[in-house]
Amino acid sequence: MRLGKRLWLIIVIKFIIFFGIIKWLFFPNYLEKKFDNDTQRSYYILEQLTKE
Amino acid sequence: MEITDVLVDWSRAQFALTALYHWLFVPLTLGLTFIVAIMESIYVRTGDEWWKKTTQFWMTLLAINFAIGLATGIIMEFEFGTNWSNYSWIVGDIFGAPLAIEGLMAFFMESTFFAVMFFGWNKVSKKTHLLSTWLVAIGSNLSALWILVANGWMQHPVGMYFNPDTARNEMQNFGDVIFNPNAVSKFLHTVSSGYVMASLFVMGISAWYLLKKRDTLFAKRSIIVSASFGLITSLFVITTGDNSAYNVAQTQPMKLAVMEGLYKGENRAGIVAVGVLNSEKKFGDNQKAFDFKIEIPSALSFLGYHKIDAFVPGIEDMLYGNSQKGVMGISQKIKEGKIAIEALKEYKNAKKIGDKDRAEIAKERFEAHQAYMGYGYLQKPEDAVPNIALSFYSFHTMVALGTWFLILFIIALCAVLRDKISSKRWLLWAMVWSIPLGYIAQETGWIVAEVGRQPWAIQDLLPVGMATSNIASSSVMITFWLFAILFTGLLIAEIKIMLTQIKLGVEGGN
Repeated sequence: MRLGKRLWLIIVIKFIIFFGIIKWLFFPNYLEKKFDNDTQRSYYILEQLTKE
Repeated sequence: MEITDVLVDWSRAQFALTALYHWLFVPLTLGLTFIVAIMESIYVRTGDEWWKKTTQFWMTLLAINFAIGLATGIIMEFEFGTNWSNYSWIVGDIFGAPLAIEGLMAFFMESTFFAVMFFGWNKVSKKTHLLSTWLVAIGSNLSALWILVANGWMQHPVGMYFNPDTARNEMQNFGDVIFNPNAVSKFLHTVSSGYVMASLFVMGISAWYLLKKRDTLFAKRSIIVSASFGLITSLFVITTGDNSAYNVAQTQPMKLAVMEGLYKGENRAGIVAVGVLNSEKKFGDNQKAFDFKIEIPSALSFLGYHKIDAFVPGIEDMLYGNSQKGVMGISQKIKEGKIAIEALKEYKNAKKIGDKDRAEIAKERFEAHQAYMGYGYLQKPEDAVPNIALSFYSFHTMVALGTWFLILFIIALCAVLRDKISSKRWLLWAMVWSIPLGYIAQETGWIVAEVGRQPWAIQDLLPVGMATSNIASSSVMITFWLFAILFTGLLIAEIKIMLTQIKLGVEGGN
């Protein structure tokens, strides 16, 4: 039982760190954040692919 | 803000770090689920309570590995969206389907039956429990299937069409993506290597019990199951490895050349069994590629093309071209790629001003040269060559260790079946120390697969430099070290909890 509790605790802490801190603080979706719609995103990527 | 080499290197380092750590947990889960399923099947068939205890002990270690490794792969998905947004956009349509199937089918199947497997003893019938254990094993491996289908597509993109309007690869044939030969061989080779890893794990820990002269019946039984499973799956790993090499030769010849340190192509090319690369060697000079080597004649020709006299192109053939053998040089591919990029730009501009005729001509031109588009982003031909030393030594380490594991399984199985294993302390120690060697083989395998395909994020179409998001390299550095600390902490927790549980033994831990 002690092992089970310890593993559940690790899972909970890990999920809090992954989703509550890392994802939220450090890993925003770059294109989602920067542009409002897919047309703008497509245009941006095409610009990136074809710039000199 | 420009995308610099520093940013690309840190983004790659971060992805490599998370992938390598993630892969410390995955292969054990893939293989151990099958081993506990086999052990539980013996318990259900014989009714022997010792087999139940044996199953439960290994299932506990599986639970530790599963709990600590759980969701470590999700970090890579975070990185796709943040660090690799160009890449994510371009592959979105191809990756979406396999990853969604993984989430919906395999993950839920795996998770649901995991609960029954861990918490269902004495709550469901023996047969229902056994079925759950088998479904966990199958579900875990199905999860790996979809990820590896996605990875196989990156190594050999098929079944799609690049839409110049959306800048996305759109799926045309789902069957081509799933049955991509590269993906099939990658899946089979990867999961079967996980079975070998788990066999080494069970065998090594059992050997430790024999060295300590405790839980001997449990240990010997575990060795019989793991050595048998390891032996069969090692043979399968060799077969699938042969198939992987064949696919690499057809679709990624540069990777095959660097894996073998083959600078100049040749008929009847041999495989280097043991060798030391000449670190002074430069492309195009007359120096020897190796300071020392022992070669198996014609083996590379046979491995790559299934003909002993087949021509295997070397790095320099591909760099500078070899018209006699019909090998196009990288310089020519760069020219083709630049035409494709120019045509794409022309298409975009023509569409913007509504010039349909000009857009149509540009699109046709783009499609004619599109196959080499990625080369257009390379600065010089040498950029198309992966790190030779890292690929070569990783490949040969993996093969040497795989051969050692096969021999070890045979010796261990013979010794345990003759009931002489307890007296062979050298063999028991070799089994214990083969656990870390198993992990080294796992990681070097992935290094061969991923370093060997550089500079490509998508083979021939998108180099890593173009796949990266235009973000601050300092933020990537910070998260790199954050992950290094976090994953090292998880690894220490895994080892510590595992060791505690192992020391408790089969009677103490259930």
